[in-house]
Amino acid sequence: MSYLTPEPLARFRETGRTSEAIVAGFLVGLVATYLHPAGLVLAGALLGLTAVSVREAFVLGVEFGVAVLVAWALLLVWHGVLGPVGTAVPLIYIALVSGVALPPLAAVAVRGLV
Amino acid sequence: MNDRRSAIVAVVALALLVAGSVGAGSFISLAAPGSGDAWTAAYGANDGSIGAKTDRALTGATTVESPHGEATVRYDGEGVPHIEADSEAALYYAVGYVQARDRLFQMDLQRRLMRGETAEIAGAAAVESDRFYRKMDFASAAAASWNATKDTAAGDATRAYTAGVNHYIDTQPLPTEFQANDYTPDEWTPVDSLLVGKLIAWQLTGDFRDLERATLADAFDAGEMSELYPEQLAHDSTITGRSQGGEVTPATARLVDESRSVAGDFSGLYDRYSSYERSRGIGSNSWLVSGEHTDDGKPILANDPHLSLTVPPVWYEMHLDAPEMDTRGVAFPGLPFVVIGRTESVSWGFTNVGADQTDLYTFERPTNDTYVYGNETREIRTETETIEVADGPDAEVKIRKTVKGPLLERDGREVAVSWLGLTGTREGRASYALNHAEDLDAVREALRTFDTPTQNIVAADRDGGTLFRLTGKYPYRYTDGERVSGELPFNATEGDGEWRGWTPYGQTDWEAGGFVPYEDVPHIDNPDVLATANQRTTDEPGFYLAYSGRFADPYRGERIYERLETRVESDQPVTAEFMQDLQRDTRSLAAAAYQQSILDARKEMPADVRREADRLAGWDARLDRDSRPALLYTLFRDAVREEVFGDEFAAAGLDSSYYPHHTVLQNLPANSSWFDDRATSERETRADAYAAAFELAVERANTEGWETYGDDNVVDLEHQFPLSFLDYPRLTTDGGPFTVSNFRGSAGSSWRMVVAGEEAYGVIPGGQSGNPYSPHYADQLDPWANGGYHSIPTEPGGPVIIAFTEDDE
Repeated sequence: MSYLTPEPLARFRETGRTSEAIVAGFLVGLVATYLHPAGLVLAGALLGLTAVSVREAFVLGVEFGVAVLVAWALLLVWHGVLGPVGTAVPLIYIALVSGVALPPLAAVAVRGLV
Repeated sequence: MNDRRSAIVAVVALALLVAGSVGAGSFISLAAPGSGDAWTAAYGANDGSIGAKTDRALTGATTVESPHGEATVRYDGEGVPHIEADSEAALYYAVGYVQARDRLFQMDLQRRLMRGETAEIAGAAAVESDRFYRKMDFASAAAASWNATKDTAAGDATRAYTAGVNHYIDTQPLPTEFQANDYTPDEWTPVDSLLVGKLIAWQLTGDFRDLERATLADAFDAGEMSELYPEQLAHDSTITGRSQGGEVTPATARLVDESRSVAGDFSGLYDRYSSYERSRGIGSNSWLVSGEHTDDGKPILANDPHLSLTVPPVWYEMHLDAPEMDTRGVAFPGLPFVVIGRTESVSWGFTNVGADQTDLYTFERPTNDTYVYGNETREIRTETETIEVADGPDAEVKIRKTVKGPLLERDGREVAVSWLGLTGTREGRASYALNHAEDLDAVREALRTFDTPTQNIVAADRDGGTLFRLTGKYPYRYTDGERVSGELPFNATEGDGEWRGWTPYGQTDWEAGGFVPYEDVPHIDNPDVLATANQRTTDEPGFYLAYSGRFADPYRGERIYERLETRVESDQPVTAEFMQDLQRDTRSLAAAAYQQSILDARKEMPADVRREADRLAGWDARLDRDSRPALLYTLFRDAVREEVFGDEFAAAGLDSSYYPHHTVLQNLPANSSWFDDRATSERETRADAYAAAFELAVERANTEGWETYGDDNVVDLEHQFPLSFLDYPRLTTDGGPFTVSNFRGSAGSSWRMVVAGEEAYGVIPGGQSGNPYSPHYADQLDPWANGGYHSIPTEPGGPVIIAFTEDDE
């Protein structure tokens, strides 16, 4: 545990009720990401707070990134533009890399420090 | 993981996050999944998606408030908007909104080009272009045209259109190109629409060929000039000369006096500005056949203008339906009116005439700030403007104007440019009237204000009438009271080459006698068969129209006439299907004219080259993608003028852009001195030159690894914004620069249209939408490259996508 970790947060991580928080983090993060690119970082940070370890923070971040991309793909299917967006090189590479990289980085940064 | 290692990992992750946000924050903001700015245009791009259909089923069409009242917009299967309204103001408001929805970036780029504001978004590379357009001050010319338009019904329509464009800019997400370049467009103005009109007119009639001809006249003697650059190319397929039926005007014509003009080496000046003039690849085809030769007794009309092939295309198809109009066709984005198309009663199409609407003048210059015009010394009107440059220091440009128009200069030589479009022209009024035409009399009346560009119009109405005429105003050039030709620069100080009554950046009195009267401009009422392909209009127009340099080689015109004549002399009626087949015709009469001479030159070729040349024996001269002879011929054609003229022109300091027409080369006698290679002691003939050119063609095919014509003849169109996904897919196609099915890399058939009564077809090279996520971004490219069409009825099609409602405020 880092000396920066607040006591209540440390206790919460030991309660075994983090799964509900993780689900909430996913939902809040998805909505935030839909509204603004910073949502990727916000979601990673929330998941990092609830993770019991740095390793779990990293895994949760990656899972969230994948979830964002899947949700986005479904949204694009709904709008009938998955094909043209999926082939929008080079912008789509930025989307894929930022989607899977930013949440785990934020999660690891937060979990490692607090 | 212990705390220390966790902290280190966390700090590294944090450092990466911070570095990423600093170094790539703008890219992430642009392209992040879901909320990246680049994707905002994607979510409404497909009107046929599950989401869009569900949304419409639950809440109806997207509603947009309009100060002019109700209108509906349907989009059909090709993404063509069908706009219906009870008033024209409501209609044109919707047109503005819809064009902005589909083509806003293109519209903005066009006005930036013409205003000289491209460097503001594109950087230093665009500064020289901006200097030219500002020196010409097209923006003031557009303002003059607006003054000539604003108090008419066309002016009201343009104002409503402008408001519609601005409503879109104010309320909707900007297209991807704006997001990627991080700028927002200024408000659209009516003058911007007129500026788009100036752009088109300049691209079709603006040139500096007088400088080219003066330079050539300085480099070659009179005999050489008349051999290489004759007043008229040697052919008899003029538009009016080979047409059938109808009443031809003028029946006879008065000769024009010789010009008294300025020759000299203007090559430096011409080299500097020739890149801004009318491209030599710009041409078009149109033809019509009267009801005499069709099954139902109704005329059939075909048109395919050959303009730049761009992403998105230069044309935007639309259907406008209001109580007093029902018009469908193509418009230039930024203009509210259909330019080529049909009403319920009339169809029409355009090709470029190639007329000389630009004269250049020299002045005696006592000081830097003055010039002598007649007996009077006048001040040059000078303004200095600042060009904003993206990511670089601002640049300055000095704009200098004379009574003859703006001054352009280089290396101590300068000319004033009198381009007819620099005055208050009224083609917007003409287009508006054409969109309302119910018969050919209405077309004739509309064309009275079609001041520029000079176009061959063909038109037909449902009563069986047909029409051909030249549009535009044709200035008489006066020197010492005599009418003269205008193929060379004039000495304005001596008062030579006067255009009477023409006022740059102001209003011109068109009826003051300075221009060819409307009734005397060449036209034919009710022709039975007529074809235009930018060839010479007529042998005797009755005034100076242009010399051969401005007209196209005759090959396309000859081929169209050849096929039309064969058809009407046969038992088979002319049909829309036949017209489409003719638009797809790939037989090159240029190739046919070279073919035998190449075969005759085989004895001068090495054995391996001769074997390749043997392939041309029996070839049908069709430029089809799977043809090896077509490839070899095309590469020969690209090389032969260099082989023949290169030595003489290089000695005169002239590059390949000055070479004469292929027709001229083909008509040279076999032992002409032009075929002699100055570098050798022998006297070469046509066979030697052609053999050498063909050998180069074979070498190039081998070097490039090309097997057939399709390996070289590729449609590869790139968007002006450098993002690869905005480019169109690469496709092979048929046809070449001298075939009816026209394609020459960066230009070609920009809209193919056939109208046969109620049956009508069209296709554009790309797609209706400029939104790269739309299914209509490039959906017509493949059909276009392979000779396909869609029908263009005047019945609305598709679901209502946008409903304009009365704005209560």
